[in-house]
Amino acid sequence: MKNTILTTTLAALLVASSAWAQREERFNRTLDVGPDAALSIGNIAGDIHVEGGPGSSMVIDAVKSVEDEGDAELLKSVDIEVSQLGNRVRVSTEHTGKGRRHRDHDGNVSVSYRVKVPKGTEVEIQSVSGSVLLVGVAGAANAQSVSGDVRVTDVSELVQAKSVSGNVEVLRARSGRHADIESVSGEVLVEDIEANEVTVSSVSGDVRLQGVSSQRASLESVSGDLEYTGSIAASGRYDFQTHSGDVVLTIGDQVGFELEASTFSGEIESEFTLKTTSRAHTGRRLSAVVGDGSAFIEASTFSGDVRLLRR
Amino acid sequence: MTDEHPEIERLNEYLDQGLDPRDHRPLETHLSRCEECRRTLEELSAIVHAASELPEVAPPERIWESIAASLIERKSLSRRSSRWRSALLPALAAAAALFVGVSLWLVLRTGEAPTAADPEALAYMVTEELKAAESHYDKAIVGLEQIIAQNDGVLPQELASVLNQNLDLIENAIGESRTAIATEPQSTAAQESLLQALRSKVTLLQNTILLINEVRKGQGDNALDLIDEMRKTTDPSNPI
Repeated sequence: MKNTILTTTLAALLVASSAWAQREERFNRTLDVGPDAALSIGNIAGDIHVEGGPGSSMVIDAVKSVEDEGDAELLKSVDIEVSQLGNRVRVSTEHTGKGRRHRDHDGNVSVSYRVKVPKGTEVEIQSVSGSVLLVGVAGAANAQSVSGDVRVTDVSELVQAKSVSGNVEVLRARSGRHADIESVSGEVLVEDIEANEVTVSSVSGDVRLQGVSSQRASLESVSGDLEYTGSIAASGRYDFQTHSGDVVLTIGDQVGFELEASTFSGEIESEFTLKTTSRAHTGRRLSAVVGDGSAFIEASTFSGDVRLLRR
Repeated sequence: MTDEHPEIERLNEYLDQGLDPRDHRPLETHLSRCEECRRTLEELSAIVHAASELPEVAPPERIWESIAASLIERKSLSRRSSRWRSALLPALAAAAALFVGVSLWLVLRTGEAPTAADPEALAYMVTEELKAAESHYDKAIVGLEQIIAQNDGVLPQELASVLNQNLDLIENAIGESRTAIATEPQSTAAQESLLQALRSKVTLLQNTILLINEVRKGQGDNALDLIDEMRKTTDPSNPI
């Protein structure tokens, strides 16, 4: 495909909405990108929703809006820029300052995006203030928000799902590489994931993984609980570390494992028959083997409990 | 085969009997000609041998024990991925260096070589290892905090508040862990919790700087480069 660079400003492409003329401006752009495209989209304020589907076109719909009619002039201060280089598309929200009155600021303008992409598209989303939803893409999936929630579902190549102060939810994800899922203050929920390696962390939120299939998994929190429900792989390695939360592992007994568990002031409990190799500090530290010991699990908490449940 | 020196991981695999048999002859041919590689192989072999002399120590040496156990149970480790073995190699070297270093120190101090079964020597090793790790983390944290202090006010107040609350949470975890170590110096749970909390603090501070740069520059690309660079220079686990 011949490479072209197309930069389009909002002014040329706006379609006024009759009902919300003063408060909204709409943007629409359709690009021919082919089945294996790449999209990078960034936004300051407003939600981003990207969804994969059939076809080879990328359809970008956006709505700029202000809360108060009196701020309608501020809509001019924000441009939506779309650039295309071959099958790679970049969408950015530029705060230009145009249309601002004295002492006005354009922080009241939000832009919400809804983008349909070919299923094979590689997607990278970065949002400052707004939620992110990424659905149904087979290319590498990377979704991040600073203060919004991040939700990623039905993706075939998860790379990252991260938020600073929002919750992070990942459903039905696959990854042939290292999937990195993280929130600083939010909760993290992952359901039905198959990944070569998965790292999930939060500082103050709980971390829950259900229906996990991975060769290597690492779950970390400082004050949150860690829950892992799923299978473990022979030769797999699984690490769980939290300071004040509990570690609850619910796993099947098809694969044996070595266990290193420790807690400073909590308890260690297991529904499995453990062949204990060492135990110390009144049950606060335990080295044990279940079955053939082919996988390795390390679970550590400072003031919480470690519980090993049979699935 | 070229006469390039084999990677250390390859020598490790050779020692570990994990190398493809088809690669034995070229490697052995190189070894027969290269004194440097023969010496490296001997050193690796010595590490394994030294480890086999170590006792299966009980707590409090969990940090040490996890390394020692890994060394002792090389056979079971060989079932795991080569990546895991490669990751272990620096630990092997560190364990050996630490063992040799502490042994030398004790020899100099007492005139007697410590036995590997000496639990006090092992406990000392762990304590020193922990102190060294703490020192590295503390230095990294001070550097990162200085950068953040120089950019005070750049982040939106709400975001700065969320980050500060979580830093306080981590600081609390660090404090609790240190208190626990003071009362039970040999508690592995407390030791590990301290190291994890320090690591979490470094990561959060790094991410805070990333956000500051995103806010200042408007785009994340440069900030991502910067944070990667910072990770290389401040991550205590990075063996530069």
